Amino acid sequence: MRLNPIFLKDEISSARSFTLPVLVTLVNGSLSILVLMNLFFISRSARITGEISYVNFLRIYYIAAAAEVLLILLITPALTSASVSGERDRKTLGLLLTTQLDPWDIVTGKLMGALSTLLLLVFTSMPILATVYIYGGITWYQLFLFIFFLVTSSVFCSSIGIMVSSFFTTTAAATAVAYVMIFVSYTVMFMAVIFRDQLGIPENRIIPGIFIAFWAMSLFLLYISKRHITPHRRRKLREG
Amino acid sequence: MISLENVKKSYGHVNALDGLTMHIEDGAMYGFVGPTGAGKTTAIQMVCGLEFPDEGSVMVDDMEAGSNVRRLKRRIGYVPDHTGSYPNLRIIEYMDFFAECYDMRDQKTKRRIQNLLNMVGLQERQTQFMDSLNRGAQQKLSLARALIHDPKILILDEPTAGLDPNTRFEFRQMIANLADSGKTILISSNVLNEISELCTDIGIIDQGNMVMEGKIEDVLDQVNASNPIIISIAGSLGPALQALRADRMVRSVSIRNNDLLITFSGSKKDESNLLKKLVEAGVPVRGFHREKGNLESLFLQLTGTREERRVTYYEAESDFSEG
Repeated sequence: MRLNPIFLKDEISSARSFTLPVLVTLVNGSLSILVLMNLFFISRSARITGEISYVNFLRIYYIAAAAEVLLILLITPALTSASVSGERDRKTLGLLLTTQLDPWDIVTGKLMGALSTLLLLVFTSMPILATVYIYGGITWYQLFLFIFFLVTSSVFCSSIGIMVSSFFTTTAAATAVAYVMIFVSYTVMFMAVIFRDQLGIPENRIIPGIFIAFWAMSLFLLYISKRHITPHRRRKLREG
Repeated sequence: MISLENVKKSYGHVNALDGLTMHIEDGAMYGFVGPTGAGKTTAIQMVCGLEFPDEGSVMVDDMEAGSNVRRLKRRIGYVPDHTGSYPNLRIIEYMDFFAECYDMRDQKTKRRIQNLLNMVGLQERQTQFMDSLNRGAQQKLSLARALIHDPKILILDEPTAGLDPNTRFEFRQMIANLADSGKTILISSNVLNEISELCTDIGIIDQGNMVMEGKIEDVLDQVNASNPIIISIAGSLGPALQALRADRMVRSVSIRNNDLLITFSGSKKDESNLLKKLVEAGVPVRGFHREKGNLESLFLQLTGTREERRVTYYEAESDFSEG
């Protein structure tokens, strides 16, 4: 099987940088601290009151899950907003376009590179989230839904990062715009969930609807990136 | 064959190319010369398919440049004026990566990479990181990279800019060897001696227009014809000036040291008639020859900076007219 050369090259580069180990340590470290603090407060409360509240264990899961989503949203723009603009800065984008690589290969290679880092974060954090199983708590379906939401968010946020990176020449501007776009998208999503009754969306359709919308937007954003980096003939404005 | 026909390209209000027409035959070594900002890089990027013209056509072997035809991309190797490097990749990884970009992964490719690194003198350093290479080594690596898929056409955009004389010489030798192997080479440069030594054909571009194009010998012959005739005279210049004044084809006369420099609009036969007249008028002529032209003088002349040069060359100048 032929692996995307851009992905392979980016993996070699990222394996040589400090970014990945630092990121894994920070994300899992902060999640661990959060979960351990929660466990500490539950056990302290149990010592004082003599009661163990099992609902509080479930709370750990929700807090850790929300923190992980937040971390993914914060990390992804930083990971991806230099992906295409970095190639442009290094003057390698033109070189890549003169090879037999399709611009689509460049975009998907960048996406795969970002996803490999994000999914590493997601899967290495699973043991921390599994603390909720100590006393039982969530169903397999809920766990699957959460992982699928993380994967979807990773793809969506990476697509936003890659898209703005293909438009902006400076990484700082690309990162700022990516954060704004992610903030707006997730605000709209939460608003749709909260006001689903007013919007007339049936409850059983809201979750599939969100997933379909995010995947469709991801594809659209990647398509825009591909179009933008492909050299193209300028359209003539019609006269008269 | 590469051909650009009446190509126009503008960025905002700036016209980068303004009706450029250019033809490069198969197997030619084409020198592309022009002042900074004349449109060389834009034209080169169009041939490589990285830019599209607003008007006109750019064809490479009867295929439209930039048409994303894999066959076309396979034919072109591009060395830009910047190396385009990945600092944390090793030299060998960089070459492997670009081989992958051309879908080349077999043992033959591995051997080819080693041969290319050997050709550019980087085989011993193949495990070094790219950020440890100086400008010269990076340009050599860029050349090796451009040749990885054995392209028929090699395009070099100011490849020797910023190199030290030794590396420049080595680079020139490599390019000359590649030209001998039958590749079509398009090289843009501001080092005019380099172009005149290496190339078989030349195109001079100014403000997005081709101002002169052709075989390098023909172009230099044209330069010679527009240069002044230098007449060395033993003794007084008076009789010579009188004889020259009588000739209608003498446009102007200036004096440099004890020589006369005349602008003469006649043919070679007219030149010999003029010499005959001078001798018959009793002028003691020691020397009579046309000043040799070079690419630099042509370039300065065509790009409109000739006048400055004249002033620095001629110590004394006297306008000459019949009134």
